[in-house]
Amino acid sequence: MNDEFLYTLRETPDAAYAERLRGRLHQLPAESTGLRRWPVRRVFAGGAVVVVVAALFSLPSVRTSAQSFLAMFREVNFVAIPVDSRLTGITGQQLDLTRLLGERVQVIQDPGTPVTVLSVDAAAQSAGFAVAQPSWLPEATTLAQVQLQGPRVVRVTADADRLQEILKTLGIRDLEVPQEIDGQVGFVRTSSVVRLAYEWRGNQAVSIYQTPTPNVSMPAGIDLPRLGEIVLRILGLPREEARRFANTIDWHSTVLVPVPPNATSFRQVDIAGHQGVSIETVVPSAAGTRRRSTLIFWSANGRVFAMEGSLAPFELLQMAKSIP
Amino acid sequence: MPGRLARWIAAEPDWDAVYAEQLPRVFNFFRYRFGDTADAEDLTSRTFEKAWRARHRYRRDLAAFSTWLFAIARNVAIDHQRSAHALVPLEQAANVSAGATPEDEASNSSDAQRLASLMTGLTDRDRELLALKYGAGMNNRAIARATGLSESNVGTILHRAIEALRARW
Repeated sequence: MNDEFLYTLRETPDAAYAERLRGRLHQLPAESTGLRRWPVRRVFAGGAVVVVVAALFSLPSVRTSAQSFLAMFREVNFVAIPVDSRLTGITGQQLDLTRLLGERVQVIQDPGTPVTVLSVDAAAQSAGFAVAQPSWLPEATTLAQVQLQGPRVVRVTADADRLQEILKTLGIRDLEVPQEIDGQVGFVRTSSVVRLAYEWRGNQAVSIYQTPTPNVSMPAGIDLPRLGEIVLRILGLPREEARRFANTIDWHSTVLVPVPPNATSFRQVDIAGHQGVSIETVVPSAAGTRRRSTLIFWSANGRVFAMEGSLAPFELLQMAKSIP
Repeated sequence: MPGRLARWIAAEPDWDAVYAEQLPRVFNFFRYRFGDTADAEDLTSRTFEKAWRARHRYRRDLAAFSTWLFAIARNVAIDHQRSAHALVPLEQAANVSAGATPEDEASNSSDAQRLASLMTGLTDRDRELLALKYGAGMNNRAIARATGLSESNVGTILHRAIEALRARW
């Protein structure tokens, strides 16, 4: 069979490209076992991991989630916790901590809708902090838009009865919500949030959100380990693990990142020495198809970052690591 | 497991030699798969970076290195195809469907462009097999191992695809 014409598409890779790639490969570290799919047990193995459960975010609405996340959490280490599928059944797709810990939420300062600004410098000037940018971008990826959202202050009043009701619905009958939290008021104060949107060959590909460390204030005397244990149980952890975990972590400096059942994988990642969490999921697109999306959360130098994108996870990680 | 065998299994390949040998094969696999040079470079990079990062997982007692590498390349291709489909705005999709046929586009271009254009008229499976055969330089047996098809099935599919292309060439 004459198939010579089928070889006409063959080509030798460009020598400069081959050399660049070879150099880059030698700089890449091998994936450590910690970068593989992360067994849940690992979460509990490290006593240093700390959690502040301040919010649950919804992966189906990724961008909103990232912004909500930034609005609620303080600077910290990040720990991923798989969410029990029963929980999504109760709260619907849009998981929201305020619906769990208290329905009485009052927005004291409304951040308004995000506005597009002309440049990163303009965003920094308006936001009042230096906006960090990745020094490495995947090929053909460019900064396409800079957006700014104003500060936000939210007051949350806890609702013990609501929390107890959720426990009952989930069949958790061995925990009593401390009545003393009922009516207690906490505040979450968030600075401006800057979003850098990057395109890959003209299509939206990556968003990086950043803001200075939000401030969370709670009344003195709140029993955080006890409250944390309740939330961990709601998220689906077995009783013993929830209790052990709740009592070994520093609840003042850790973020729990709930991983819903539709996530395809999650893992702990190291972003230039800072512990972060990467979650991969498949989300429906506006066109009715499904697309892969990766979320990465980390905190560094007094700021918290969230990155969401449809590029390959290793490219997103490389971008994240190049942010000073 | 005897120590020598364990050491042989655990030993890493000669990466420089592997890179020199496999880079053109992976690169051309993507050229045949998607037809665009820039995409081919990008996807080749992704493949090698994934392989490099996961190199400790390669078990030489389970598969030839090229088999392992092309399993990664095929996954990269699938991911790319999914994301490319998902990222095409609807209006662009409409333009694509209203555009010229592969034969029209092929008429005034180089042989390579003509072939790439004609291949867009094939099914994904046909294009993948052609990419493995003519891009990656695999024989039918290796393609069968890589894809899970029988060797005779690979031969039949390739024969029909080649005949279809030849008819339009």
